Amino acid sequence: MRFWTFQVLNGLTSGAILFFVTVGLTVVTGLMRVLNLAHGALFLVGGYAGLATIEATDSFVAGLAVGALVSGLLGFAIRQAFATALLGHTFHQVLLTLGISFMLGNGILQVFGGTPRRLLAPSYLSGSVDIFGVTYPRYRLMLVVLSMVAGLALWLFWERSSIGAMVRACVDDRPMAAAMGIPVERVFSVVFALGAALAGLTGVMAAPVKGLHIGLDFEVLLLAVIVMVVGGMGSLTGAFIASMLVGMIDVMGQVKFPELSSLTLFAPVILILIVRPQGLLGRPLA
Amino acid sequence: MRRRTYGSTQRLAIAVGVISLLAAACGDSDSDSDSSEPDEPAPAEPETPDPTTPEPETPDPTTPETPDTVAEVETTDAPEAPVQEGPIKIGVLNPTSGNFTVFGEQSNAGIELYFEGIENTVSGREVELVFADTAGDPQQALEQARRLVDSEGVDAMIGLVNSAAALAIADFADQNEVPLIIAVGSAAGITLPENASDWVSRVSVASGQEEAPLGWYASTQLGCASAATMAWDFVSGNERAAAFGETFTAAGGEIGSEQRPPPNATEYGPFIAALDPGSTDCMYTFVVGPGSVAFFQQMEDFGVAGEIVPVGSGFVTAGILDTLGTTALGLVQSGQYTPSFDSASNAAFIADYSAKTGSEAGVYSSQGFLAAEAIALAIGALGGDTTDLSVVASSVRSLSFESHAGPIAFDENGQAIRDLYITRVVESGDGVVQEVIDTIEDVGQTWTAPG
Amino acid sequence: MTSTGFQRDISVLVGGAVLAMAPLVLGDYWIGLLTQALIYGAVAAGLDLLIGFGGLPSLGHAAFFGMSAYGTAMLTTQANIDPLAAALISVVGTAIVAAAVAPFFTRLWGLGFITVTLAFGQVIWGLAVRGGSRTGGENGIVRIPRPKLIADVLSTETGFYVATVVLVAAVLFVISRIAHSPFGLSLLGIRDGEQRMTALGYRVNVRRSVVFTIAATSAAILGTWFVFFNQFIGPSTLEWKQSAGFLLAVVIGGRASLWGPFAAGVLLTLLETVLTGETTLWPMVLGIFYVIAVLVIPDGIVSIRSQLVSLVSVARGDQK
Repeated sequence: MRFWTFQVLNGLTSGAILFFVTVGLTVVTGLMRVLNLAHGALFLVGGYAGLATIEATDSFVAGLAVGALVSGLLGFAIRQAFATALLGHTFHQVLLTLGISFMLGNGILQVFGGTPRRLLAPSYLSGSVDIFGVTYPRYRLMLVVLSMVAGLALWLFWERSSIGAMVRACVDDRPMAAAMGIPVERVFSVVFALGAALAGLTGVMAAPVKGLHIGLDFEVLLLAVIVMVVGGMGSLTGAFIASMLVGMIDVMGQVKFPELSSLTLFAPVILILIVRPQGLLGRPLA
Repeated sequence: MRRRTYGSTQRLAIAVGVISLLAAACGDSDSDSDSSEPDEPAPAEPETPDPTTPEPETPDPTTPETPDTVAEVETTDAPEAPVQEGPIKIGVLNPTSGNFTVFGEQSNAGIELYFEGIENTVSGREVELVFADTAGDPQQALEQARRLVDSEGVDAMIGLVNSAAALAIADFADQNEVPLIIAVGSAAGITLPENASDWVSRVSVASGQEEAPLGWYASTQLGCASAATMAWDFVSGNERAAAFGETFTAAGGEIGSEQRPPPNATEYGPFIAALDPGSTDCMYTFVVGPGSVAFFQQMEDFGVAGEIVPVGSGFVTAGILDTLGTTALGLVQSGQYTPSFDSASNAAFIADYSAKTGSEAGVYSSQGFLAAEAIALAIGALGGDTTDLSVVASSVRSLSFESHAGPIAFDENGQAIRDLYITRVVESGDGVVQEVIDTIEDVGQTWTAPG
Repeated sequence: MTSTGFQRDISVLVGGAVLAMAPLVLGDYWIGLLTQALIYGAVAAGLDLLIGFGGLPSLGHAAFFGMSAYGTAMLTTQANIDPLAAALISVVGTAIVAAAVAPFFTRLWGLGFITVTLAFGQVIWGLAVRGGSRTGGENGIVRIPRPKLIADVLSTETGFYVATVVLVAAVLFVISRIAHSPFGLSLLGIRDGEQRMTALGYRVNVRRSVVFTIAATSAAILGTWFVFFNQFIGPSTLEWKQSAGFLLAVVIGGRASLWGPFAAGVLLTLLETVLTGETTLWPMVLGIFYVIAVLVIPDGIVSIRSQLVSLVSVARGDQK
């Protein structure tokens, strides 16, 4: 029993991190039909920026803020600089964003070096608590709780607020939205930047659990794309469910069938996609 | 109309192709080769490499006495051949990108440090280092090795930080008849009698070389009655865990839970959760690089760190140890090198390394330094003569000297025989250090427990 | 149409003949590099059939390249099967796998297809990495023997290189025939107007599955050939970054042009290998290159000629 409680909590933690990483990606992709393969690099840049800030100021919150800011600005800059190319063919998006991703990733290597880094959870969130009969790190529990809260908040914003409605209008029918006077271009820029900022923020948030090292950007990107497609592009609820699902499958698969680890994760993904191409909760792609 | 024209061009194509093939088959393809091929008959090379063909014998070299002082390359009674023109080119294969960058950087620094110490000169000839990035990937390592041998014409190759690349390059070195000194790359097969190549030597451990004594030590000296194993699920990890288990159980211990996380994993929650701290005294771990940082952190997070004594192979030193900090407290390792090894030459090595890089020397720096030292001493023993590379390769084998990490010699398969230091991570000042608690002497690829 | 076809075939032949003479001027190292580059270029051309003509962006192509390579490696080193026989078995085996999964994968489109091929590639990669002593795991498989052909021509770098030129030319020929056949034209139609084609009675998914299998088979043939060249196979040849590399060669080359992706594949392979030897900044340089490529030549290398032509005529127009 103890073993399973542990693993469920681990799965939820993994799912929480996946959710935060994917939510930015799925909204941008569903919204703009832009496949941003630089998302993982934005995650890592934010993480390292946050690390540098925390080492300089000893403030975790400052680190979070800087991480989000740096990635958000980068995202904004990318959107502005390559606006036309980004809205072009999928292939151009792949090429462009992959190129940016290589540049950012190598830049991190040059600045921070190759040694993997560890980020400690802030003192007020460190240590472990006894919960459901196991000793579990407080910080991880916080991530799980946060993902639920954030998920709910985002959903409310998305479904119930007027800004959310505006964004949804742009997704559903861009020309119509423009005709109604909605500043579509600005909406896209803001959403893109916010998605990037969220990725950077997650880089810092996830660091006490995953650490920071070269190559993490692509590891994260791979998982985020999988989660996004399984959940359905553009669907927040889908992203949440898929994150938790993938997190659980990944954790359980690793422990129960370590010899088949990538099979246990990717085979179900293939099955889901074949049976339901638009993902769990996505709308059929045009 | 189109079909007729097409037919004739098809025939033309076949003609061109056949002519080219014939030209190539009859032509001499070695005229451009610029690696220093020996003029005397090289060992007979089978045409298609066949794993069951025994290794050909190398001609007996007339090697003079090898020097036994460290870092001094003396030209003793060298052969009649005069010193060659041109620099000695040493190819350095290490990752400077990818997951193992940190180890590659340390190894390269150690190599550079050695050659700087001898003013880049061996037997009056200048030494030129040609660096190549393997990214830790055997395929890329192979491509770079081809560049080193075919394009740069290196006289020898040194380096490597992981088994996968080491295996591929060892095979390459054997096929292309270029001496190779492996700094780190523990695949046991490289120096097993059935596979060993006269061209390849290794200064560091073979899988199991650190673990066999450790298993015995954990049971008899650390008082562990039961142990778990946590090793990455790949060839090296499995070999090592098995070697530990073998001597541990032979000494009376019992192996409990055996966890095999995927290589390069950064999430150990599931595996740590499967342990039972109540009935486990020690745990053998083989988790390297970024994974080790995550692993020890998570051991602490899940409240297991204080309950089980971690024991491992000596890879956690210097940079990584600093990052791990107090999460690695209590870790007992068996390794060929630790900064805490007390000798004058080690103190000098550490000081010089620190002055050069601003960081502390660790296992990878030490092994790189040693590989450099070995190739330099081997060539120096020949008076700097690199015309016959097979003589260079066997010169490496006959080395026996006192290094900054202790004594080193090679067995008949190219595997180094060295002392093993048992260390424990303890607090020191505001950080942690390894403290030497024991020494096991003359440990080779096979080891029998005392008594 | 006839003259373009003739021109095309002649230029392939001339190009092939020129390439075959390279050993007269280049050393062993560059010949080896070129061999590898030609193989990768041909893979990109095969992928163009799928991406450019079929309209199916695959991020799992390396899986078929590698599957056949591993098959050949395992059969020759562990079962002691003759290299050519092993090659045949591996290629056929890979083709069967491709044909089996194709009907399911091709039901998806766009991002869904990318993801399922990506996931598939990762499954194959996972099997290679965790295959224990059979696949060598992380270590891969060494000492893969080359086939013994007439005059043992494959045992020298130059001989192997010339054989590669012939093989690659043959593969390109076949791909080109397929692309310009009625089947190929129907693919273009499906790519641009699926509903229309369905209405006209074409079985869209069947055709897509066929092109998927053909592309995979061409990759399998080249994968086997690669492993004979390299005499080593490791899991990194199968990972998604390798697939991404092939995809990028197609995009940079110019989709549906075949020779564009081929040239791009060759150039990119050479560029990457040379860069890797020069600097640790090479991912950065590669990234900058990709970005510039998108901005300056979004339609690929093939479009450079037409862009230059229009530039020239604009200049001339101004002068008037």
